[in-house]
Amino acid sequence: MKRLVPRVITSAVGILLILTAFIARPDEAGEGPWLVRAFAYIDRNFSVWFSILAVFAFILGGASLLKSHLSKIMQRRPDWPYSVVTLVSFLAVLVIGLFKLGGPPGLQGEVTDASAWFMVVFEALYEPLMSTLYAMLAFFVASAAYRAFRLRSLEATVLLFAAFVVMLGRTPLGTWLSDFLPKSLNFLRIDTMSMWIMRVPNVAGHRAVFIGIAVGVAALTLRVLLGRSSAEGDQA
Amino acid sequence: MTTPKIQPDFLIRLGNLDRRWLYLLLLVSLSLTLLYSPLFPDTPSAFTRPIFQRIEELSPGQSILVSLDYSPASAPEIEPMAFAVTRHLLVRGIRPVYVTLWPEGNNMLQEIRSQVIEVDFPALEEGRDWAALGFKSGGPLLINALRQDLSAMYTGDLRGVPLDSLTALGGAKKLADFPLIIAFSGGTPGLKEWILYGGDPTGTPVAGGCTGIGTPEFLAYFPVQLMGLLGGLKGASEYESALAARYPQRDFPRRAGRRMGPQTVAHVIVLLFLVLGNLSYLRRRSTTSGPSTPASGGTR
Repeated sequence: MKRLVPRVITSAVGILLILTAFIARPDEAGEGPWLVRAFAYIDRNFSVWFSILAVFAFILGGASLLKSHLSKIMQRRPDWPYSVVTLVSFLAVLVIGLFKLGGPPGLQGEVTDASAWFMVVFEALYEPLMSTLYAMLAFFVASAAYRAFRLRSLEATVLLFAAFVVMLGRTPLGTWLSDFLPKSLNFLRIDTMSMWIMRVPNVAGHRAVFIGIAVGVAALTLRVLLGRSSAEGDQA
Repeated sequence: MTTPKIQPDFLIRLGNLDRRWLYLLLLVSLSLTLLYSPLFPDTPSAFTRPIFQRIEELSPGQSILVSLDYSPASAPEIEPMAFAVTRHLLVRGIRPVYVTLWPEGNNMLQEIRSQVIEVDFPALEEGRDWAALGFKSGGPLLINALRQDLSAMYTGDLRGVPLDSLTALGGAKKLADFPLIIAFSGGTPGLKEWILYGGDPTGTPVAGGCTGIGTPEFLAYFPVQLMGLLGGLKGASEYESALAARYPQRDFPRRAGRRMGPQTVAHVIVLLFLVLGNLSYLRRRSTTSGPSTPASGGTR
């Protein structure tokens, strides 16, 4: 019963939502036969309910973070001081945001108002930290390109050539380097080749992957809806 | 009797170069280029032109939906394009209605407000010339709800002003009422969800901007499901150059154009080391009879 009820709910909701995609078209919302109106109603309200439920994911996420880091601190597991930093930061920002310190008060007070402490924390801490982490990728990519990207096989050589052309083609240098070419040899320009690689082989590969994933997801969804698999992935 | 010490040749030694030299070279080169900030000429590509053209074709007073789905991590790449498109919309008298699928999106909206609207368009009024609806959770299903009814998810803007009082909405009640959706996307949920759940079911044209690394993925939707794409800093720089060419009298800042210098230098250094690393690898392989070891670059 513990497993059956969630599966029945999942299947019923899933089938209903799939049917809405075929029955309730956006232009027909609020008009047309009662069946179309009923499905339009379901489609709209299920989306709103999901958005409300998604808010609880934030609460659940916060609770989970508190639980896991508190247990790490209590048990003095390796690197527990980092958990202290995480928890102190989490609670400080939570209090600043929830009580709208420094900003317009009340339920309608905007937490991202220029005067709010939340905005100060965001601009002085969060923004530089996130930008720094992302910027460090440049160093790792350079190092990885130098040490790992090798001409070991024909496939690797093709990949290397494509990467070379696309990287150069995405800079003004690529345009400048092939400016001397006459119009009849336009296809040899680095920016033209870069564009071709991105528009033809890249798109063909991506579309194949997307369609493959979509078919796989459809098959898995069907299994879940028919009760052959649970949403968590175990086999029936 | 002592054995003569064999010196590995230069190319092989280069393969064992300490990675910290590479980091140092990158740091110095990027810092110098950032300080100098050269401005490179750029021309809009086939991905950028349709967005610029579409905005030029819209009538002043029309409202379009702009989604800011990025955070500070991807802001260095995406923010310049969001700024440039906002300037283009406002200079043409088109009214952007900002929403976001990311919690950090409200803060990114604040940056647009303080760095673009208040600086370049101080006479414009929030609610009348532009609107900020802000963040709501739900991702794709938020889009699904907006598809049928904006008021299902938003009762008002970020200031609490009711939707009915926001003239910037131009009477739009649902997604299909907007002539264009532009999503600036640093990940998921983002542009892909706007295409699949917003643009495809309603037939509303979707345009977007994404990080350089996300560009290849989104090109699979171009040009039918995605009418135009600003790919990374290069896309932003192209858009800025188109804006500068069309409205030279406004002299808008060229933030992405100025960052193309450091990006070019970084790309050239990576390519240079790619070549050197492979030369070293080939040299090492030619001096050994067996298959090469994976540690052709050492482990330091």
